[in-house]
Amino acid sequence: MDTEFLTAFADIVREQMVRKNEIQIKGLGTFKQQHRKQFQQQRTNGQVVMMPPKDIVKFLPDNRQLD
Amino acid sequence: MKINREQLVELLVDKTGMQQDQVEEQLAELINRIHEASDEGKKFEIKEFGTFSMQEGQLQFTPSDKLKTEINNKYAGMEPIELIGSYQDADEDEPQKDKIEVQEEQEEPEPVADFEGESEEDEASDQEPSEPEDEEEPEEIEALEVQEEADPFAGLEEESEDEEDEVPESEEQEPEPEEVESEREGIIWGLDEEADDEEEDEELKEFERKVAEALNQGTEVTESEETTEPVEEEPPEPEDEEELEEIETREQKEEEADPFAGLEEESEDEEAEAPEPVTAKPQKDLRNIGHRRDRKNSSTMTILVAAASIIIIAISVWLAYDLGVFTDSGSDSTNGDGGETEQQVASATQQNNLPAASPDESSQPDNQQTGANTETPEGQADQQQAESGAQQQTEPDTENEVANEGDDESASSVYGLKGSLTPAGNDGYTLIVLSMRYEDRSREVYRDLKQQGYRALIVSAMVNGDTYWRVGVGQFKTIEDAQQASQNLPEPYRDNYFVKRIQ
Repeated sequence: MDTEFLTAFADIVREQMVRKNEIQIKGLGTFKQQHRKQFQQQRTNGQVVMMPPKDIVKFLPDNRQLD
Repeated sequence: MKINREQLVELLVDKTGMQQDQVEEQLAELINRIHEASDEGKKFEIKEFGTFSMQEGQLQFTPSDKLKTEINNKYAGMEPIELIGSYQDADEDEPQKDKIEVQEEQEEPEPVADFEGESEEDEASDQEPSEPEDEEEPEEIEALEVQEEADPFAGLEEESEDEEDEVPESEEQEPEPEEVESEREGIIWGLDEEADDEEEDEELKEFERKVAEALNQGTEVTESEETTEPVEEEPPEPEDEEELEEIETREQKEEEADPFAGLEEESEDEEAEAPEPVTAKPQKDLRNIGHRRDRKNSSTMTILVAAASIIIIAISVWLAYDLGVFTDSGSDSTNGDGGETEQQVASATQQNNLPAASPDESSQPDNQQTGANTETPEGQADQQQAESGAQQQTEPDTENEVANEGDDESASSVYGLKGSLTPAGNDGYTLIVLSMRYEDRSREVYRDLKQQGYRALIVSAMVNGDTYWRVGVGQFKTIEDAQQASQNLPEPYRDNYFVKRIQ
């Protein structure tokens, strides 16, 4: 397992994630993009802010017994 | 679209050029290593991708910052919007006002105190805070007396001895748990000692001493209403003579002041406040005499200083206010300053225009914005043409600017906002300024931007079955670069864009 493979792996998975593709790697888990809606939040000082929406990375680990 | 392991291997083979067997082997090894590391509780990090770790019995993945921003590029740079302001800010403002008012109240009597007749008012104001306490205490005292009827007298004796100038005998006579308090009372009760001493000023000799002491104390009294410190400075000489007389007075006081002593025993916090009224009432006159002499002599300096400073501040404020008036009147009166007034008027009109213009922009719907799009770019195009003309003429004034622009272009030849598209820059990000379904309109804007020297590109995208034609400007290596460059976009697009990967 050399660094070239690692960088290629990271590049490809990142690329596919940006294209909103779900990457399912059997034995490891599934990477996918998830959307978080905007939401209101009250801070401790009484300030109410609207947090912006965002897309996040969701990783669902595979069940280990399957591999 | 789902990409399973087989597709991933194909992609990896394409990317690395390795054999499929090798890739599958490497991938299996990678997965094994991740599992091994996580089983041992270690973290496994893949650079520019993220970190695998074991948390709560499950494999967790924490994306790296780069992956996070790439995924989130649509919303990159969005900040939380404040809907309701914090109430702490409002609270912080109010106490400041209160403080100012308090300061003003404190400052007010000082300049007035030059007059003898009004010095009494100062003293009255000094003693005012203690008088309401007198009113409050009796209620508590009644309750205390009901609870402990016998104790107040014992407590009084103990404390009355404490009052007696911290005589060591008092501690011997007190087996009860007043020792800790006596230390505090030594400070707190100091006011009584001072007062008691003054009470025995009936003897002329001591009275003279007291006047001398009061002179020293008086300055401190004026500065701080709590006269705790002077006690320590008092000469211990008169104490012996005073004790006898004090005891007599104590006995008289005991009858009067029993409730206070009982109260003081139980509530330590009120001890600081309680002693003042006990002594203050009988001794008001004597103290007043002392204070009057103090103030006449010693406080004049402080009062003068305070009054002078206040007058100076008032004059400076008045001058500062008047200077502004002077400039206006001067400009009106003199002909030479007429240009300045015109400039002021011009700037004022500009300032008036700005706020009027900004709401228009914000409230403009998309249709109006497209109309405005055609106008402002032309203006900028004119400016750019003027710049290019300046470049041809090579005027000395603009040479520096031209050189700088040239440097920028050469430095960011692969990426940048202006210039021509480079194939190498296509792996970066672009600022999408327009996205609409009509191809001809999009191409029109695209041509406009390209004519203005921007690095424009047009791409088609399928969104929910419709084809959108997106016009992008610039090629940028990172999202941050793109956001920075967005400040240089032509006006209608500056606040209305989104960052997108070119490929």
